[in-house]
Order: sequence, then structure tokens, then C-alpha cells
Amino acid sequence: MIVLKGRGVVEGRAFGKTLVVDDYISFLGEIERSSGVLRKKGFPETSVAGRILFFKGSKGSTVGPYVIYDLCKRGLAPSAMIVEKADQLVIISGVLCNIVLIEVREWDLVKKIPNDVDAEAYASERDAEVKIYV
Amino acid sequence: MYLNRYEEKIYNGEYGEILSKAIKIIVKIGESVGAKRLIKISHAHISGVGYNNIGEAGLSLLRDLASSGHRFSVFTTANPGSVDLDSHRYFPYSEDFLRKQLEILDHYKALGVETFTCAPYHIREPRYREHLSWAESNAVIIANSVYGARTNKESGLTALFSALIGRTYYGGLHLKRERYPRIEIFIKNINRDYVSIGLLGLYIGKISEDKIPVVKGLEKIEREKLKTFLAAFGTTSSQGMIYIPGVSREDYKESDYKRYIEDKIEIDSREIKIFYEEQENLCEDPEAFLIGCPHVSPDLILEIKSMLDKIGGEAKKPVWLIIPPDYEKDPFIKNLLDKLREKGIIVLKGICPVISPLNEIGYKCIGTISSKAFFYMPRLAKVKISLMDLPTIISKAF
Repeated sequence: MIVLKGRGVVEGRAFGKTLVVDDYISFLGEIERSSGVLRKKGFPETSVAGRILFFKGSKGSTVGPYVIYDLCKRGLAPSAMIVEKADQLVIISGVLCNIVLIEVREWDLVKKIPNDVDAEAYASERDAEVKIYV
Repeated sequence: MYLNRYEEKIYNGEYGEILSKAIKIIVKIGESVGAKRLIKISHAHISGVGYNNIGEAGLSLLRDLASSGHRFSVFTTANPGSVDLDSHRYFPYSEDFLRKQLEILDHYKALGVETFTCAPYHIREPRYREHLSWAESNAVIIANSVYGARTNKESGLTALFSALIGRTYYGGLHLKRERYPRIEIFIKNINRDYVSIGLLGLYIGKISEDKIPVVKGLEKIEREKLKTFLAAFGTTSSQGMIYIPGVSREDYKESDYKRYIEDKIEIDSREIKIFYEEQENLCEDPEAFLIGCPHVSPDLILEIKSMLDKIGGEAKKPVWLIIPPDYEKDPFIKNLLDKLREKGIIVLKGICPVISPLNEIGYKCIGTISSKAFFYMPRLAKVKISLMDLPTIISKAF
């Protein structure tokens, strides 16, 4: 099991399969609004729905949070977002949709996490951690 | 973060879920930049109004917000949309596009947006040291760098949530210590026409990256050219202000910020020429001309009017002059605009062709004095651009 410590930005507990994107994501353009499918070169073309989604942060259009809002209205949002740095757009997306949001300190460990394994994210006001069952 | 009792009640949901989410967003963004408390704002300015820009996803959120019954709690303005009922005859986008754009405008009006313009400082001038939550880069740069007001360069949604709660986080450019320049730029031998000054703004935005520059050599710049320069800077820089001695209102002196300067750079006309030659998407023979990115000031209307007084005839190609919606309430400005209309100029109120699908209605090449439009139109309107000074536009259009 890999355990990552971090800072909870949006509190809660979430379970799901991992999806690791060791890069920044532009919500507008790289996640399909109607299906939640990630379309980003070099990464698996799969839905973010219900995932523990690891990515470095957001980039690109400030319209991004609208896309995440749309996904959560359709039940297609990730169940947790684990980032290196929570920028404005990621924070807005997380709070709007109650998606557990955690900043992790040691991003290098994230690079070792495989896709499609079970994970659990927990964030409170005091602490936050992500457990990956490998 | 410290919250007072009222703010705590909002946070805990006593005024409903939407305000609770709004304040949580502002608090959490604030915490991520080390802010210790919130601060009241006197004016919010929202971006993200064009249907082309926010799309169905944006429409869906605005629909939910507007139907919630919540209203903005401070004076709020917003960027323009692509088109409205008045301008649809000049920009015949599809009925579906028009309907959705109008729906977005209606939701914003219901939430309490007072007017739609990208130049909110022409509608309500920011006061020295007042706190704002503004999106729209040119407005942010001008509020900070000319008026000495204090706002971060917010995303459209951050400004929207601030408008709901009337507060922003007390961090970033709201704090004096964050407003010191880190890079010093000397301007040598740059022409003072709109094209050169706009390109200079784009170039400085690019080279200063995320640092606030102090720019020397622009002390006696005319107000309208200053606006062009700052708007251009805002398109290529992630920063929210420039410090221009003799122009900017800041309560610090060179001796206060000198120790923070990390880099010194000199720029002359050669660098600007090379920078221009590197640009793509240039074209030669515009089918239409755009003046008003950002929306024009009364001064520029006067400047155009006095240029046109000297020539006869009417415009042979479309010349779009884009103004904030409420200018014509002033009889003096209305009179000027009527004179321009007699010359065939198309006066457009509170819209923005720059963010609109101009390619879909057949345009390929647009002439403009605006470096901001020069940067965005190939990306958003999918047309090529010819950057030209005001006298050139008039000679080509008439």
C-alpha cells in the first residue's frame, strides 16, 4: 500500500479506481463534457467518472470549472482530485461539486502509482491522506 | 482563515447552499495564497459571457445560479457577449447561437449585472486603494496600474462568487508588499503610435513573465495610448499590474522597491520589429476594421471624429466602433456618435466580435489598432489580422 500525506482543500472521503495524469489538465478541451472521457495525448482515453484522479493542476481556459460542474450534474465527475498544487480553477471545481480535493506534498511518489487500482482519499480540516492499495 | 460572525454564518450554510459554496471558494482560494481574512469589495467584474467561450457547460451553471433567487450583493459589471439583438444584423450567426447568447445575458442581468463592457473603468472609475474583484485582464491592469485600486487578476467565476458574497480574500495584489515591481524595463526610441505602443505592451508582458515590471520612459504617454499598452500587456502576462512612475498611483518610491528588482532590461524599436515579424496569422487586405478592443473611451471617439472631419465621403468597408452600452445617455457623446454614423461607421454597443465566430460568417482578414485583438482574434474569432494605426484604417476604409 502506498500512503500519501497532504493538505485537505475540500473535505470528505472518497473511493475509486486510480487514474494518474502526471501533467496539468485543461478541463476545457482535454475532458469531454458529455462523457467525462479524458482526451490527452500520452494518457489512457478513459472516463474520469468516479476516479481518484491524480494530476498536477489545471491549465488553460478559465472556463474549466464549468466543465467539471457539468460533469457532476451528469454524475460523471471524479470522486477525488489529488493535485500537486490546488490553483483557483481546481478549487472552484472541487467546492462547486463537493469533490474531495487534496494537495500532496511528495509528487514524486504519485509517479509510481499504477492506473486502475483501488484507492481511498480522506481529507479533514486537520489532515489529509490518500491510500493506494497496491 | 479568520471569518467574522456574519461570514461564518454564510460559510455554515445559514444563508443557503449557494452562498455557502461561494464563500468556501473564496476562502479556499485565499488560503492557498496565504490570506488571513476576507475583505469587502465595492465592485465585481465578471468575465465568461460569450457563448463561444463558456458554451453549454457555462450556460447550465448560470441557469442554476439565476434560478436560485440569489443576487449579487455589490455593484457588478460583466464582459460583453458576442452579439445581441441590435447587432445581429451585422453579425448573422445562427439563430441557435443568438438564442443561447441572449439567454446568457438574461441570466447575468437577473443576477444583477449592471452593464456589459470590457472597460468597466469607463463606467465606474475605480478609486485609489479601494478593493475590487475583477476578472478581464485589461480591466485588472488598468485598475491597479492607473487608478491605484486593488484587485487580483481573477478568473471569471472567482469574481462571480465574490459578487455574490461582496467579499474577496485579502491577499495578492490587495497587499502593499505584493505590489512592488521585480523587473525594471527601460524604453528607448519607441514610436508613440497605437501599433508600436501595443506591440510594446505584448512584448513586455511576454518577457516579464509573472513579475510586476516597472516601466521607465513612458512617463508622458497619452491616456488612450496608455490604455492600449496596458491592455496588450494583460494579454501576454499573468501579472495584474505594471508600475509606471509618474502614471501609477502607489504610495512607494524607487528607494522602497529597488532591493526587490531581480532584472533590468532595455527595449528599443529593433526588438519590437523582430517581435512583430515573428507573429503568425498576419494578412494584408482587411474586409472590415475593428476599433474598440477594449471598448473605446470618449477620448478616442473624439479623436476619430476630428480625423473624419477632414475627409469627405462614407466608409466603403465596414468599420466597427465598439462602445460600452450606456455612452449615448450623454448627449455630447451621442452627438459625436451620430456624426460618425453619418460617415458610415457602425457603432456597436456592449458586444465583442473578438470572441465571436467571425469565420463562420465569412470574414477572413480584419484590420485593427488593437494589439489585444491582434493577439486574440486568430485564436478566438479564427480570422487573420492586419495591425494598423488609426490614420491607416481611415485611409483604407474611406
